[in-house]
Amino acid sequence: MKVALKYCGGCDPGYDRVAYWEAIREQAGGRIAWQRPGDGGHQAILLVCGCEKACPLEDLPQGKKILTVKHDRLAPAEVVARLLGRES
Amino acid sequence: MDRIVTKDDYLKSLREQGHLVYFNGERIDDVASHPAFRPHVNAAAKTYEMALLPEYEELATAVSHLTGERISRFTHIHQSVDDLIKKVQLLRAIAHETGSCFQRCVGWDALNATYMTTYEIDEKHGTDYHQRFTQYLKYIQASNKMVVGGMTDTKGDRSLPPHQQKDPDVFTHVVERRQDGIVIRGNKAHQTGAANSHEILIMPTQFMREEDKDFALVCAVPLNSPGVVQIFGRQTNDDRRIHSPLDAGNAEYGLVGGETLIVFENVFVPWERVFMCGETEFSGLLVERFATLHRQNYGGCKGGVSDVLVGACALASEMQGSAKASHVKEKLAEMMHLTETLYAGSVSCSAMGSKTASGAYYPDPLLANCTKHNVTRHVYEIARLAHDVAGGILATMPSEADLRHPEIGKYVEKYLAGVEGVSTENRMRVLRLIENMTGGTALVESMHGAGSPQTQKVMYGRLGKLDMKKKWAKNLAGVE
Repeated sequence: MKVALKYCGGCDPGYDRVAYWEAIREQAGGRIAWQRPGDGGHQAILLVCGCEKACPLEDLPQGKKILTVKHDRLAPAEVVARLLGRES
Repeated sequence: MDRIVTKDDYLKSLREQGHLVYFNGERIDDVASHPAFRPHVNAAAKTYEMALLPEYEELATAVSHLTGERISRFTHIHQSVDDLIKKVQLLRAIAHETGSCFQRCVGWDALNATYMTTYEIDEKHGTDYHQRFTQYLKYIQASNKMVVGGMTDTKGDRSLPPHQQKDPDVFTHVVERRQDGIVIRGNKAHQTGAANSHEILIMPTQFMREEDKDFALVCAVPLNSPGVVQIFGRQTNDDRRIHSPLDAGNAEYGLVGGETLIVFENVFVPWERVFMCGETEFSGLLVERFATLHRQNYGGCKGGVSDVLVGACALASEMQGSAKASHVKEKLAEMMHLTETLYAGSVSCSAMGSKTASGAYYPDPLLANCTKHNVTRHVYEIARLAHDVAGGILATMPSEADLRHPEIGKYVEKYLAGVEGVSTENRMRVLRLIENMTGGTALVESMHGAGSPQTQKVMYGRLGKLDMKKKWAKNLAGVE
């Protein structure tokens, strides 16, 4: 599955967004091919935001399957499961 | 170099430009490598580095309204309230990485203030300043050069207007008008980041009257132009970064911005780089706009710097076993309250921003002034609380050389130890960081950067709508 990774700007994040995504990537292993949003052809977007505001959400194209995380309390394995669930 | 993209590009561009900088009585050949300048260079370089990181690009880059190209946000003209808010968010994010000033906001604010004002000068006078400036802006956006915004003149006798000064050069002014351009002479003081910038965008330092026409000047000058000399100022404990990095506290990024006194000794400026020349009635407007845009920033950058300081104080208290004391928790909470209050000011003046005739967006000036005014107070209070939490060791701690000394190092290790499992060196590092962020130069910058408190108080009289306030009071009091 191809998933585009998008971060918020990180003005005052409540957790380490990059470390969290790296844990998600590790969990996903070869099941997810990560790419940039501009690359196209992805089945889902993982939007990693530092707080509840999730600034980029308003600007992302509608119709894409967007999974937004606003904290790191969700287990990385659960994030992967939710992403893979959007493939179908 | 056509375009600066990476940190290496930036360092190379500084080495290539060959600008004239002095520090401590010496000519500095390479500011990118000299230990007195390196922390400031690193901090400015962070603005280039973060633009390349996916986790920051949302804030650190923008799309140019002139070309449609993705550019550094530090060269962007604000196109919406959202852009104004993103500006403040970006400053906070970078400050988390540097713990000090990263200098590029001042040029950014000068670009925006000039963009708005040249549009209105042209509307009134039929000049072509805005078109010239737009061309210059395209060049800056494409090259990604670092611009310093040059507003403050040394001003000599403050009781006299520029034309009555014994030495008129205490204000930057036009000394000759030629067919192909102008020749300027004078100075700009407190120029943050100038030693490691490429260009200066010169603006008038204050409202100018008709008789001070030659001082109503906006123009862009490459800092390696013949006749431009920079003299770098001293900062608190600046020799520590040369001799003992641990004692510097933040050896990688220094403290505050690093400022120069810039001298213009008969510098030629071609007309295509002149954006105001004698239109005195717009000088005050430009000053107010630059000041507002710059004051907008302070809750962002100082908020971010204060976040780091709060973290350092929390670490220091953990390392010395006082973290669970209720008074320490209360002081950390107070520091966070003050920090968020600063940030709230910057966000609010951005949220209440409006569109100017040029299409560029502008923060609410009264709220921006309040934000900066709060910085002149709250940063001192945050520092006072930091000193309280850290303890007297902040002022009495032995040096890195003592820690590393073959004979007495063991005593420093033994007697400066805190809780078990924390090395003395790490404790010293955190305490030095707190010292770096709360002493001398770091605080004075909060007082006077973007204008001294009195300049903010003046704005309340102008923008505070006192007549309406009196009217509301009269209505309720039943006063006819």
